[in-house]
Amino acid sequence: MWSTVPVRRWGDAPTVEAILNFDDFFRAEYRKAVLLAYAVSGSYAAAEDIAQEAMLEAHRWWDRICRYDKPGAWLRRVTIQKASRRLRRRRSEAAAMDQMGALQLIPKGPGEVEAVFEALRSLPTRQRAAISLYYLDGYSVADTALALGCAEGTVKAHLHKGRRALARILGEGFEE
Amino acid sequence: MSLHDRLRKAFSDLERRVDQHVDLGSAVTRLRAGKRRPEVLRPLLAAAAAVIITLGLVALLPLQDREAAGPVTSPPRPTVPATEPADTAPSSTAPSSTAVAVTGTPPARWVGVGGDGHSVTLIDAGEPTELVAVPDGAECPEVSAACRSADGINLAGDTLFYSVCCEPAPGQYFSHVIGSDPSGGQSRIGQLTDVDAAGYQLVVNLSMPLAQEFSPAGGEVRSFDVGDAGWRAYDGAWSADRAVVALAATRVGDDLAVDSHVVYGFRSDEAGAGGTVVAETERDESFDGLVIDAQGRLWYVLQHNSGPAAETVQGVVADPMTGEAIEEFDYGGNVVDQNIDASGQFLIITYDDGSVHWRSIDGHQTGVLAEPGSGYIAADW
Repeated sequence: MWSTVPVRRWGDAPTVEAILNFDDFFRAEYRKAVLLAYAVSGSYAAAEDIAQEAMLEAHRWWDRICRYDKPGAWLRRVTIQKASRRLRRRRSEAAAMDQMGALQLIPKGPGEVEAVFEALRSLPTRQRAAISLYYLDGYSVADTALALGCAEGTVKAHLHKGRRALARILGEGFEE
Repeated sequence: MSLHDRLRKAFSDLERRVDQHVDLGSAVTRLRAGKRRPEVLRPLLAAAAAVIITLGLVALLPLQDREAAGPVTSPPRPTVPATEPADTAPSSTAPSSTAVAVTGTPPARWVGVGGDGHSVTLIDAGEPTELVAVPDGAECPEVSAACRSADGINLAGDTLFYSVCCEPAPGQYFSHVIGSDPSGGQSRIGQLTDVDAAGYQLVVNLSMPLAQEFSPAGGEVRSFDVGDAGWRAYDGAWSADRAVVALAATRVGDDLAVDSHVVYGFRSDEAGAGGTVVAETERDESFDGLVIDAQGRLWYVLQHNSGPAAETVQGVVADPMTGEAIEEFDYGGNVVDQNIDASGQFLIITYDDGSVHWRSIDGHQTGVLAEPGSGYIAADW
């Protein structure tokens, strides 16, 4: 009851998705991984690096990962893990890089957009990840649960809490 | 603009910028070379050293050992959450030294929000009865399941109160007497944070920098100002006699960063005049689950949102008027909701694994009301 995540066993026959080669996987998933890495880590400078680390790991273990029903879910989970760890080092490392304009490959957005991401980063990591997955790809609750490795009910709880907190934080200028 | 639209717009804008600036060709080349972006590499060298050493060791292992070692980061698989609460109520370091020993037993009945926020249930002597089936909202069908469903619950005698999230954004709560037709009850815009045994309601509203107290008949009794423009109360609690009120508040600062969260303490004669800041967080922390027990002590959940401390959900027992910490403890899991019974002696705590636990305020009595996986996101008794 801890998780409803379906997992393919090693050696199971590959699915249609699994016969994709790594290049196709990379091209389909890399940008999304960068987006997710930014949403969770809060660092434009580090986002691409995190995504690349996750992809590198996928590449190393591709012969296994390609057998999963949803290799993209695996990549998101690894990206979230790496971005969370990066978040912990952010003050001493990634934040410093953010201040170095030359390294900021992804430009900042308009103020109201940055306010949303700033508010998002004030949430606990799991809430932040759940909301990011939900809004980035239009992930269903089931897919979000798969990527986070938790039950759907837990995702709902994170979404509830996260949205309520965001509504609270972004209350200024809200038009009802 | 609704919260949903604002989030959609923000992520769409981010996606556009990433699409414009991420060069897939270069990324593929770097990946094949096993390199990071060179300009990023230098500042990260020190931190990366340990990772490189770890990867190197894995690479040196014989193949069969590498298979056993598995990916550096394991693929998704059923796991016990890291924040798994203990089987009994959560704390080996639970406060007890300063609390007067609790006598009596916890309530036999409690109410919970489950079913992904769409079911409000009464559990009486272990027997569940669904009281309300909360429908999805029609306002934002594209996010139906998470858009409008119950996320908070309170019980005052036989009157049930439940809050819904997240449209309209200030929240809305409903009440009716258990056993009566829910459609014949009352509703109010705002977020109910506490209700006393007589039915007085403490309500916050993110569109106003204050909390309001409403009588059971619906009239406003008092309001509590949380300070300058921009601050918004989001949680609150009061003592059994409503003489002391605690409110948690936050705001977005001028630099668009989220300011620290604070807890205000009010005495009843301070209503409208602004309370005293009794606790303040660092930037990546927040307060939640405020309750005041029978001994007038304030309990709250201090959540560290990042950093190594994020693994710990800290409980704090404090003087509500001075903020002086009396006890601190570890909840042993991620708390999503906390309430206290009408006697002020028994906490009811909901964890993010869907379980519901209870404990006496002296820590001597504990129990499990719902096992992990039960799907509860809030509970009260």
